[in-house]
Amino acid sequence: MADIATIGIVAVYCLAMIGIGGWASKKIKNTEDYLVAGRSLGFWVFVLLMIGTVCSGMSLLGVSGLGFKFGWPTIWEQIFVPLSIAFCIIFFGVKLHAITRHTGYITVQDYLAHRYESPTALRTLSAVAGIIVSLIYLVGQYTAISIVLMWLFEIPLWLALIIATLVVTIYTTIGGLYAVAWAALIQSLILILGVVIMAPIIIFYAGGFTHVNEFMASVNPSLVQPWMSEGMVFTPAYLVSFGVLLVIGLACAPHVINNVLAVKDARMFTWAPLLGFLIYGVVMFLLKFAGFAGIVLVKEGIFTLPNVPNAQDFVILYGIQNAIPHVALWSIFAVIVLAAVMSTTDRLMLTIGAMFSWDIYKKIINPNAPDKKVLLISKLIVILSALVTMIIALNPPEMLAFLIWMGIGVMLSTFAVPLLAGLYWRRATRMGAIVSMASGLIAAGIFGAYYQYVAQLPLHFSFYAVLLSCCAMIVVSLCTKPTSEHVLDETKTGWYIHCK
Amino acid sequence: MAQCFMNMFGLPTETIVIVGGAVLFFTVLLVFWGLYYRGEE
Repeated sequence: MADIATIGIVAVYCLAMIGIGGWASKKIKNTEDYLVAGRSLGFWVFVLLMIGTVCSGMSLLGVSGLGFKFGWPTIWEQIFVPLSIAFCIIFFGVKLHAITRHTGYITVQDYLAHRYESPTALRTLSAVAGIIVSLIYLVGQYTAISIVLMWLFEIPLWLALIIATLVVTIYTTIGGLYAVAWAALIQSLILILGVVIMAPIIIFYAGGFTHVNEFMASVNPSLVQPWMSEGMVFTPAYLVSFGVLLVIGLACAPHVINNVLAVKDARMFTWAPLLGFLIYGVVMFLLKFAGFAGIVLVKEGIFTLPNVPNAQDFVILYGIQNAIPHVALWSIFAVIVLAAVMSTTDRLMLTIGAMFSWDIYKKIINPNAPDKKVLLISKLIVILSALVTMIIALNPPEMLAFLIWMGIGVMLSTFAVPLLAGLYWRRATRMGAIVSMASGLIAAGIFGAYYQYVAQLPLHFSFYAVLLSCCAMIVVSLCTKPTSEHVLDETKTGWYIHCK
Repeated sequence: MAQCFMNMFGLPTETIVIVGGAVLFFTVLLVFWGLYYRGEE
């Protein structure tokens, strides 16, 4: 069992998050306050919310793990993931925010329903797909939280899950996006400061950055190359598809893209892309370098990784344990991982609540529902989503990692083409969007299963699905009746970003 | 210059040039965006 200092540090963090929820709950007057924080997010809250939403606990542990396993050819992940923040703001955020000023969108499904004149079919399809993908992601997040709590406190899985679920659910349910955004501010600061301090300690413990690289080159020269040669995983062609997956797939994920609707002023989009890219880039690079240091530490016998299928994901935990031999400092690292996980988990739960209460209940099932009832349903769905995913995470499916990768692939294949075509191509039509979304969803499932169970593909499986989705959009749109001109003007559709 | 980088980081020159170049390229692009975009009018 952990010592009193460890329990104290984690308890203070959890109580602080619940305190933020209590403070934020006083600001909630209606559904708009709850789901888009009254469109009041300032610059730093928005930038750090974007970082917190994109950075999950799985990525925190997985980034070092991937670096440990494959070396420098995986460094592109450190460029692509931060770039997704910039892509989301520039290519989706600027236009969606400009349209929202006149239309009052609450979710991105509002935009799709308006732009494609499809209040039921496309809204339902995109909301259901968004809820499924978000639930898959949530299971992964809760599993990551429980791994950290079990490691630190040596408590059983069920107890770790209950603690984690209770804390996140309380502050998200009572405080909505106000709580999620302000919690993300604190969580992202903890994450940035923690990684900036702890990752260099691991790297120096392994002999310094240059020694780590020289050691990797002596073990296997391909570990220090920018990509792998043909027949291996991270080939240049694969990296292109990997880039599309991470940059566009994460940018169009519902829990990420909905953040742009909550910004107070469009002028924040000026420097937010650069700062999001650079700040998160530094964090991601340091985590990757800590994974490289793990190669030295393991090969030199400083520590041994556990004999489990995802052993590489433990490399940063073991690196911290050895480089900083004091349990109270490990608990600070545990808080960093908890902060990373919770900043994604709370946003996912709120997004599921928004998609069900707003897109399905308010817009389809009961359009006359009073605001208070929609707000209540949002909160109930947030709690329900937490309970469902907690139960699944108690006995996580064997194919969990596969499902999480499927999740990002499905986001890309399902949402990227209808959103980009909707914003930039006036000829994109309702039927084009429906067929594109449905074919992307089905194709992602087929190519993903083929990749997992039949044979490796030269490109990431989602790339084939998104190509198919793109072809479907072009062919079907050109064969069907165009969207009315007044809707295209209202939704500022065309080959431009900046709406003057 | 390249040799200096290699001695400094223990990496092949092409890795430093390609990865560093990519980071620099996207940073410059986003700086240009910041200089170009002025919010809604």
